[in-house]
Amino acid sequence: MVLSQNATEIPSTPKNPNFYIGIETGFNSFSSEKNDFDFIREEASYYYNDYNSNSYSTRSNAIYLNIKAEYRTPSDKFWVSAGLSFTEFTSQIGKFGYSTSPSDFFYIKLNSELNETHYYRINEIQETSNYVGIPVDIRYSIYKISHIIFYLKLGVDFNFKLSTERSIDFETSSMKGYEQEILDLFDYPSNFYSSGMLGGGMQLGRQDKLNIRFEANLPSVILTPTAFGLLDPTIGGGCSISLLIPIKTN
Amino acid sequence: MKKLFIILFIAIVSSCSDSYELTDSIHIPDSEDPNLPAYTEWGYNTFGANYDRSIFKDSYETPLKVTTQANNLAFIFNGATDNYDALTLRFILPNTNVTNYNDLIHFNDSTINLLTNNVTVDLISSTFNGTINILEGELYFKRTQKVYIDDEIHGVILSGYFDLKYVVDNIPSNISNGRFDMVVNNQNFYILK
Repeated sequence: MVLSQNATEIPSTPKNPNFYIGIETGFNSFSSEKNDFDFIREEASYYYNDYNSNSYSTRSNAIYLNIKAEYRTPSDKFWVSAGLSFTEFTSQIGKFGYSTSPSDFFYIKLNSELNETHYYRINEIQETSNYVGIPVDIRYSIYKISHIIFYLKLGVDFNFKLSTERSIDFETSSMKGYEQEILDLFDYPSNFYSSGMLGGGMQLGRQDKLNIRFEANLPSVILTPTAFGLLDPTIGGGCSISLLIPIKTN
Repeated sequence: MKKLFIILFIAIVSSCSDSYELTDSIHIPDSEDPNLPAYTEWGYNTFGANYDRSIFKDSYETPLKVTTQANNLAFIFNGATDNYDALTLRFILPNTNVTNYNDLIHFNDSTINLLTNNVTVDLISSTFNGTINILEGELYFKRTQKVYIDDEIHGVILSGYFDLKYVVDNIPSNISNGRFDMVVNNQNFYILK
């Protein structure tokens, strides 16, 4: 018996897409090395004879928005992405959070010549820099259940400075005229910084549909800590959320 | 009456606003002898010295009071030993023309030989209260400077050293390696009648 040439063809299994585009947004918070600013007056804690350097606290945070393209291996085990990032990095010196300090300001010594010394009372100093950069990430799928995938991540980014703004909040507002002179006591940020991160997360969604990721970076490490002006951030952590859509199938 | 209340209110607020300015004592440990405060010129309101084999340094009391009375100027260091025994050391300099704490600026880079010019030194402790017999010693004002906070004069910073050997009840003793860094203003400068 000869089979009909018009016999019904067995439909082929659709291939999973390998390429995705997406956006990612998140933040990282960093601790900083304690700089010995020799122009900031020390301050005692409330507890007499319990000297600790208590005159100020520091904060460094980065918020970012990434646009990226991602390639996933046919086995869907390795995901490699690269793209464009926009980062706003903020460093602050001030009196934050829980503090044993009796005042809301600290003293900066601007001039100490001959027989005069001038202190200025400062509530906060802030530096905000904007960067454009290239993030590169590798993710490894470790466990899948239904349409949920748990993964690990290794990433690095290279960032180039677009702009910097600095400002001082004086206890006495009329001292604003000394702002630039005081800011010049601190280093200025360089034009480039790099960071690396380890992390992990969870991806939701079918491979041929929209994917949503929830991710944590721990740790996130500044690879060039002296690249910033006000502070030297070192290590921290954060989290992000991503949306990815498939763009190509084999 | 209303104007009087406003004036009183402003006076009280003004005095409160600077009553705690630079009054705290900041102990930066000396790198060679951490029991003593480091020599500084910041107005950290500390002093310290070796008192025989003990330590004499500032405590809960106002660490320095400066008085002037009939041309006699007194620098009164109030502190305690490391056994928490109260101790006061008072240097009295005669024939000084100081009527205001701002006049202390003229002591910049000046050495007071404790054996000359009728300088007297008093010691007040749990076991002694009186003038001590100086064998040798000096009080050295290495630097004096007017201190401004937000462009307003706040006081004078006195920074320097002191050393002395003395006899009390026929027993020699010494206070050595002394250093001080103090703010003097209306809070701790007194004109005695």
